[in-house]
Amino acid sequence: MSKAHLVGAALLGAPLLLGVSACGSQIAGLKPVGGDTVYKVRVAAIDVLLDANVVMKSVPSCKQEAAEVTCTGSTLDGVPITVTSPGSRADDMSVAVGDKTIYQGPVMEILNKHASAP
Amino acid sequence: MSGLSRRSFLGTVAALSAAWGIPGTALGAQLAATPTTSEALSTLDRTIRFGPVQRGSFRRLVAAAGEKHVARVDLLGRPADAGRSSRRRSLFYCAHLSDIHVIDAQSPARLEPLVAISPSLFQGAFRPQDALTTHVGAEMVRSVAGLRISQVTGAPLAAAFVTGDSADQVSQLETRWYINLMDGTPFVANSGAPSIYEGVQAWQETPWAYHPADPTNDVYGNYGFPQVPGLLEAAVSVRVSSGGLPTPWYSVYGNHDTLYMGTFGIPAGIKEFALGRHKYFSGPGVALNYVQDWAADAAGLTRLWNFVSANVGTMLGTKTVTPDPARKILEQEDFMRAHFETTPHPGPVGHGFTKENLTTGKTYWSADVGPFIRIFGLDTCNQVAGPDGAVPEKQFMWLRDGLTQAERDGRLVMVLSHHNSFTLENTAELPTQPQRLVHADELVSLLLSHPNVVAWLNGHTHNSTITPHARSSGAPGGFWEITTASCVDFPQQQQVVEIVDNRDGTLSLFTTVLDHDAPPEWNGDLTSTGLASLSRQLAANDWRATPVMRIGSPLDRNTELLLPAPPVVTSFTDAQVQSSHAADFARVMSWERGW
Repeated sequence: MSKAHLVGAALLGAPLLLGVSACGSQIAGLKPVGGDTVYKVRVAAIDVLLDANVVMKSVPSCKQEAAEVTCTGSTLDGVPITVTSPGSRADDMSVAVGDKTIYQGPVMEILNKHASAP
Repeated sequence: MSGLSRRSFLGTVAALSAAWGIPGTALGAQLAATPTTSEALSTLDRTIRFGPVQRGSFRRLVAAAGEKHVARVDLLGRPADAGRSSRRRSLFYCAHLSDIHVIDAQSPARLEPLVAISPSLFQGAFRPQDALTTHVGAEMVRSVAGLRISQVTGAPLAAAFVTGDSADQVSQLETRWYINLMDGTPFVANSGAPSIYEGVQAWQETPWAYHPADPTNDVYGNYGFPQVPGLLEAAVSVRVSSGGLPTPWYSVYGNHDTLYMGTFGIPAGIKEFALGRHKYFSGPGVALNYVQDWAADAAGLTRLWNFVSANVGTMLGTKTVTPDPARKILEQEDFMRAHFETTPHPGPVGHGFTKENLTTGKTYWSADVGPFIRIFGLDTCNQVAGPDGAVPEKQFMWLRDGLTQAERDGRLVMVLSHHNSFTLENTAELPTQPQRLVHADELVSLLLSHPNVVAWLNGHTHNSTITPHARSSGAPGGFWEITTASCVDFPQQQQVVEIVDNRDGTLSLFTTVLDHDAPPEWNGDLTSTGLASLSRQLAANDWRATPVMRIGSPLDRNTELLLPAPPVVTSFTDAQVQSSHAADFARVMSWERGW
C-alpha cells in the first residue's frame, strides 16, 4: 500500500521550488508540490474514528485521484471503513464504518478541535 | 542480570569501567538494579496544544495531557496478547531525528523574497522562525538526551539516526552548526557581522516578512504576531549549547543537504553570491509571470529559475550585508567530509560515512549497531534536480546484496533514508550518466522480500506518519515505515523508537514523540531556551504551513507497532541483550560525567 500517490504525498515544507534545467529528462522528473489535502483527510478521519472508539485492524490509507480523496481500512472485526472527500467539496469529508456514516462535515473543524487544548 | 553468569557480569563491568573511565561500583549498581524508566518528559507525559487567542489570530500554546501508546495491529491482523508487557525484553532503543533544517538566516544564498511571489508555493523560502533553528536544535538534542533511558523498558539509548535535511541550504556553516548540535560543541549561530543581524527581518522593504522589532506594517503583524525587541540580536549572539547526544549518531543525506533550496543543481552564480555582500530583499517582479503556469508543468519554474540564475549578479533588489567566507555552498562530497570533523564522543567519526565513502564518492553506507541490528543508510536524493527522491540502480543492487548478507548474518534490519514511500518518485536523470532510478514500489517489494527488515525510518514531509507494509498473498508480517516530523515547522517534534521482543512470536516497535525541551509557553525569555520556545510559538501560527494538520493523528505519534517476529529473534540470547545494555549504560554514564 506504499504508493507515491497514496496518503502522505504531503511534500509541504521540504521542497521550496520545483522545476529546473533545460534537460527534458530532468524536467520530466519534477512534479508540483501537493498532497496536503490527502494528509489532512487521513489525519482527520483517524481522529473521527478514534473519537468513536473504533478499533482498527487496518488504519485507513488514502489516495487522491483528480480532486477526490478516498481512504479505505477495516475494523478489528473486519468491517470496512470508508472515507471520502469529494473534489466538489474538498473541505468536507464523510467517514463511514460499514453502512453507518459516523461523520460528515468539514475536515478543518476536526483538525482544529484535536490540535487545541480541551 | 539473569542472562549473564556472575563471572561474565563482573568481567563485563570491569571491562566497561576501564573503557569508559567510570567507577565499577557505580556501573555495577546501575546494571544490577531493576530497570527504571526515565524521569524526563516525553509526550507520554505532556503534549503541547493550541490555547486561546493572544492577539488577532495569533494563538498561544499551552501544556496538555500526555498520550499513551496506542497499539497498531495492521501487520499482525489480530489483537495483541494482553500479557505481553510482562515478558518483554528490549532489543534496541534509538532516537530518530530528521529535517532539523539548521538555517543561516543571514546568508545571501537564501532567496526569501520568493515567498512574496507565491506564499503557498514558496512557503519554505521564509519562515518567521528562520533565525531560531539552532536554538530549537539544541533543545531537541537536550530532549533526546533526557530520554536516554527508555520510558517503556528502562533500556539505555543505543544510537541516534538523523535522516537528512540537517542543513537547509547546502551550506558549510549550517552543516557545521548541525554537527556541533549533535556533538555538543558550543557555538554562536551567527555569520557576517558580529552580534548584528543583517537580513530580511530587519529591513523595512520586506512587508512579507516578520519583523519582530516592529511587526506593525507586515503581514505577520496583521495576523497578530508579537513585537519582540531584541529577538534577532539575541538569535545571533546567544551561545548555543546542546549538551550533545549521549549515544553514537548516524546521518544520511537529505535533499537540502545536496541540492540548492532542496531542489536545484547548484549554479556557480549562487556559489559566488553566497559569499558576497549583496542579499535580496525583493523578488524580481517579472518572476511572477513565470509561475503562472507552474502547476501545469515545470516549464514556468524552469523559466523562473533561469531568470533568477541569470540575474543574481545584477544586484537589483539587494541590500548590502557583511560577507562571510564560512557561508560556502557545499559540494556533494563535502557533506560526508564534514562528518569526519567531529568530537571523539559520542562518535562514530564519520557518523555512518566511512573513509571508503570519501574515496569512492559513494554516498550510502551500512553499519552494525549493537549485536542484533544492521542499519542501511541510503541516499535517496536525486543529485540532478527535484525535491523528491529515488534509489539509483547501483545503490539498489548494493542494498539487495546487503539485505541478503544481513539475513545470513542473523541480523534484524532497519533502513534509513530521507525520502519516504510517498515521495520516492523522482525521475530526473543526467543524460550523460543514465542510470535506472528505482522508485517506491520496487524498494518496498525488495524490503518485503527480506523477513529480517522490521523498520524504515525517514522524514522529508515534516509530518509524523506511520505506514504498515504488509506482505501480499497471505504471507505473514511485513515492516513498519516510520516518518518523523521536523524541527523547523510546527510541532517541532522528533521521536524515539524501541524494538521490543514480546517473547510470544511478536515484536513491538514503540514510537514516542518528543517535543523539544523548551517550555510550551514563551515567557519573554531571550536565552537560547527561550528562543526555542518562541520558535515553536511562531511556527504554530505560521498559517502558510497549515500547523494544525502537522500534529498528525494519534496513530502516527505514540504507538506500539506490532508485527510477527522474524525467526532470527529466537536466536538472540538474554546474555547478549544484557551485555549490549551494559555497554550502552556505560556510555550513557560516561556522557553524564562529561565523557
